[in-house]
Amino acid sequence: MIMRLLRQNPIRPITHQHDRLSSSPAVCDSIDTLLSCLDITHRAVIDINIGRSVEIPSPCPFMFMALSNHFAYHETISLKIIKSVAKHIYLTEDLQQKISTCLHEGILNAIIHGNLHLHDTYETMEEMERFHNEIDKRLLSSRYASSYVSIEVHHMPSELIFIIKDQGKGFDYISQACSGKFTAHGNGIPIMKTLASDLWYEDSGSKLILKFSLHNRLQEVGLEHIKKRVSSSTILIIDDQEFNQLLLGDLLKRHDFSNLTFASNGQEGLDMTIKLNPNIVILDLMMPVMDGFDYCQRIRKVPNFSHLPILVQTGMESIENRNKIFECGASDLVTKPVNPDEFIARVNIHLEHQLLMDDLKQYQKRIVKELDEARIMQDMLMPSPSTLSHKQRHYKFRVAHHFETSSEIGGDFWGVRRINDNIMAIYMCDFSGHGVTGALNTFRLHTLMHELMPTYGDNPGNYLEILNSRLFELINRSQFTTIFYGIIDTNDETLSYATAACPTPILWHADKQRCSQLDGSGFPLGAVEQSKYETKTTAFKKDDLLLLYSDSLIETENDAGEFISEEDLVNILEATARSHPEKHRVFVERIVLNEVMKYFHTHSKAPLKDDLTVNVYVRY
Amino acid sequence: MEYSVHKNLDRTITVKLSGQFTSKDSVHFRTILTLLHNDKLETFTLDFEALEFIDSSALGMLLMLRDEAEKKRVYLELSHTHGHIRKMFEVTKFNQLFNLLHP
Repeated sequence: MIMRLLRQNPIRPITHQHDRLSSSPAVCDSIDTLLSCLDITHRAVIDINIGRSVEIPSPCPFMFMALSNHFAYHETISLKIIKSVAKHIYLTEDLQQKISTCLHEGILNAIIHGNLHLHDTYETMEEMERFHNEIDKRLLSSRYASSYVSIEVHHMPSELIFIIKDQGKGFDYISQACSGKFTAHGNGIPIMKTLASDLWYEDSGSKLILKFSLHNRLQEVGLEHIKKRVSSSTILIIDDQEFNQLLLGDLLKRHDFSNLTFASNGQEGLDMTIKLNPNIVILDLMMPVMDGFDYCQRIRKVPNFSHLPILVQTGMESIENRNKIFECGASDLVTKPVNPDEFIARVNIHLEHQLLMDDLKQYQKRIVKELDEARIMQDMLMPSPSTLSHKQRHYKFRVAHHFETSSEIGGDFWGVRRINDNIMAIYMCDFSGHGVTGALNTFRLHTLMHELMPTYGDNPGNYLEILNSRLFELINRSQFTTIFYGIIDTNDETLSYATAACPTPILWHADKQRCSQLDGSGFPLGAVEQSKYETKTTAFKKDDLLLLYSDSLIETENDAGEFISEEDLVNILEATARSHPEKHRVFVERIVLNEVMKYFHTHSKAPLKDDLTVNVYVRY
Repeated sequence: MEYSVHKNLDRTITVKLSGQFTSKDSVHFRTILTLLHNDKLETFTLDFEALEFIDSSALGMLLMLRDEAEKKRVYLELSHTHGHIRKMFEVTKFNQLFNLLHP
């Protein structure tokens, strides 16, 4: 997608524009907040870039700001930065507080020790006041006025990284801050060290890197919950020695396990296991009636007990017997005499694993179910067979369609809709991203499209412009959609269309016996405010064919790293149309679709990376 | 930062701070420090209830206040160290250096 966008709409690099507030269309929401707080006379320079970092290998959205000394020295700037970051990334209040404190300290150091070249220390009130007066003086002097502090924010999967750079000659922060004692000055770094997950200086001290882990609070709560469930687990102890039962029972009780049951041989243990469904079994080997080996083998054959943790306690030293007990199905073993700490640790670990696995399985089950429901809903965005056949008869066209998603739900959809008795709209959209994000956005777009179509749908260019401005307000800057939107006029036998970064549509002209490639260019919808879209019109007569497809058709590589080209598609379309003379052309659109899909599947055998939609329209 | 001074018979002084207490408040703080120059003064309270933010330089100033109070044999206490401010005190272990009231 990105490749295609760059090809069609080369994006101008955003450069730092000092003394001027950037109004680049790529500036994201967060900056709006910052701008609203800005006094332009403070000479704030702000730039927010959506792109990829060159310094950090993994792709991450990144935000860049350059603030003049005077503005950055403002005590609330760190709070404002973190508030705007928090609009995009979920951060707990506590983490926001920590980050804003660190940013405050980091920026202050960057200005005072970096840009203003002030390296003095102070012990007394008088010295401190002199120091601060000097700061104020230098902030106002023209010599230091042009320097600024830049702040980069990188959002990584599990951490947030801030890079604070100044334009000074560097400063030895480490020797300033390693006394370990808090004094009248130089407390900033120790404070940051306590609050951030990690921090270090580079470029002789003119670049500070602050890292914060993004712990998922829910996850932590979940683990807390697991711990509680561990101690309320049911434990079955199978041992024929009453003394051992007492010993282990007492040990477990001392570690907050209260749900204990005892059995004195394998047979009794088997019955109680099935009856009680314990979370873990502590098993002795040598017992009358039925020994531990037998118990293990039998219980593993009972449905639902194949994963029950069985912790065997054994006095046997021989490796053969140890191997044998594992072969029979034990999960783990401890040797007698039991080491209390080891025993409790093993019980805990097996219970935690078991509970976490149960949780995961349930979670997965729920997600699969929800995604299934979501997919059914998404299928309903596409035309149903009955509405389609009704429209096909009325407007004298047929459409063959193929739709598959790369994950459970996708970001593509297509459709046809009545505008009036002679005019019908056809469209195909591909939202950036697939999976849940893409899918959620398709619902928004679908609603919006249908809301606006009755009023604006008869003018494709105008329709896309309105759709774009509405979408621009709704969605995140990093999200956008490509679209082909056309109207088929059955009176004039024309197709009028407008496009937003969609793959080249291909049109077969039956009268000329050849194909033409339509222009699919245009800014993607939702990416650039007030984009213009042109309505183009072409003849679309009886027996003409129109091929529309999402970009994964031409952006899926084969083993040799080659892509399907537009020319390949033209060739398929021309060859198929020519080889099916008119009297045999009953389902030519299906034949074309089959040929395209056949070519795609022989070309690329790898699983789909993105959603794939292909439509072939024919007029009759 | 803003502050207000409440005196009680010259023996106790309470200074209520509000807003943000940062490196820029050194002048203000100097004035607050001069309040210690009073022979009858026994207890000096800094009230943080309305304070929203405190930074490392401000903590440095508090250390100076503490030294000055010790010299003048004035009992210094800090009250209502809440939320973020409380955290800063914990992080820096300043809670062990000061007498905290209504923490």
